[in-house]
Amino acid sequence: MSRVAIAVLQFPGLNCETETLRELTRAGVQPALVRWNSGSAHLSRYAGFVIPGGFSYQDRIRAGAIAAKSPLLEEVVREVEKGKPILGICNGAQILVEAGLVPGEEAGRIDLCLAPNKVKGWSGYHARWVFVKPDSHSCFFTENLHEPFPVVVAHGEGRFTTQDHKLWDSLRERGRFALRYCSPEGESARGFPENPNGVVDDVAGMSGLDGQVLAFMPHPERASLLWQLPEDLPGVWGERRRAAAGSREQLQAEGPGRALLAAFCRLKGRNT
Amino acid sequence: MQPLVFLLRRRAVDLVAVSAAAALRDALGLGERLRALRRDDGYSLENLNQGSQEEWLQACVNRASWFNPNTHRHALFQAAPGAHAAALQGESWPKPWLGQLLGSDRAELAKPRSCDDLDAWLSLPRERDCYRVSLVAFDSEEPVRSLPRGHWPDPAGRVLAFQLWTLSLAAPDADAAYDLALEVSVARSRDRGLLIHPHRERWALATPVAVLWEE
Repeated sequence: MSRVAIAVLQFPGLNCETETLRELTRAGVQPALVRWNSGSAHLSRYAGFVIPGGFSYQDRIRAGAIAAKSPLLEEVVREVEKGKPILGICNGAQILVEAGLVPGEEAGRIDLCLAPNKVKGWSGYHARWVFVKPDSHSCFFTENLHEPFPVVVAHGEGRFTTQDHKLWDSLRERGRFALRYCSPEGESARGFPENPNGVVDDVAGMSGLDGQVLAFMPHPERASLLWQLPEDLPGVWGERRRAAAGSREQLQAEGPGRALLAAFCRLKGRNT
Repeated sequence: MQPLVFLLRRRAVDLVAVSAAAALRDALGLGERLRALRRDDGYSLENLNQGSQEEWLQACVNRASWFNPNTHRHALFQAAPGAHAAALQGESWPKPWLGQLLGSDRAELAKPRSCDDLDAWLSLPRERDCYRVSLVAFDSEEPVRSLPRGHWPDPAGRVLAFQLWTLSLAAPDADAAYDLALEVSVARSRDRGLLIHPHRERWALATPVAVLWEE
């Protein structure tokens, strides 16, 4: 039986497309790379979309600012507004926010930014393992997620921010904070480094439109296989990783990030 | 001493400005109305109670990590007081803010010329019915900071780092040019605005909108 067709969108400067394609395949869907310069991309043939991480257009002006204005993204927006899901990972998340798809309160309006990391005594790019937990099940990608899981962050501008504080409160109340940074035990993050960028309310992933859009700063494709996890990781996933040490077969087992990518499998059988 | 502004211009082509101009013309529909786009880095210095202008220029050039002679050109301008207070309180900036050129490593700026100091620094093409709109964009969360570590004529001085976006726009008059510049600069939606993000930056007009060439 044919797999769900997912387009991985490539803009110049994105650099995580290969592993995103590979891990989507492992997750059970049929991904295809669609480049920014492929002309009319016929996106209607795809059931969903992923924008991977990297540095689109060298982060010129701001991360994601130029890709958000591209003709390809116009086409993507038309498909997503029909209800098709889209996952933006890291720079992909920044593009979705710059395109007004997250939170998407009004068509195309930009209500948020992903501001530079702001942690006391630390600034700039930061990469490390963190834990996130699903905080809302109204998002397509987190519907079936329940437990906290480890995943990698690697960004310099990942702090969801708005000048509209009423909007922020409203987003919180309506469950738009789909995933939050947390402790390994799933408790609220106790500042840096559990919250790696100083974001208010520990928001790691924000959903948009009717829940079919997710802007997620961490990289699930870097935690899709058990061997990708460090051995000293705390919690259940760390125990699994240590138990698998030395066994090539066991290390190839599913990692914690795959469930997020596997959400696309639920599109099987749906009309696209 | 009067506040100072230290401006920096890349020696090489500014790829950020090139990309921004292309996006403004093609994706945001500005087309040929945008004649030129410049981006300068800048530092506004206030609360300067000690030291001469020359000492401050030398400090900016030699003692801060702001300037690299291999990659940038520099200029020091006078400025009107009040910008830092306005930035902190979210109020209007002094008008006009950016003033006279005090010094630069570009020798040609010291020669007699017909245009004003900022135009000379920017070197915009002098086209008929074109207006220069220069917008200062700065961090909205912590705009004013202490001077970075180093030897300064007055260590109590304060600094506001900014980007100076200058658009050369074909427009019927200065008001229309200003309105158009704000429309395309401040990112409000997917198809409106690009250069300045209102959820992380504030902005102000650096100098009055000026016509670039008239008969």
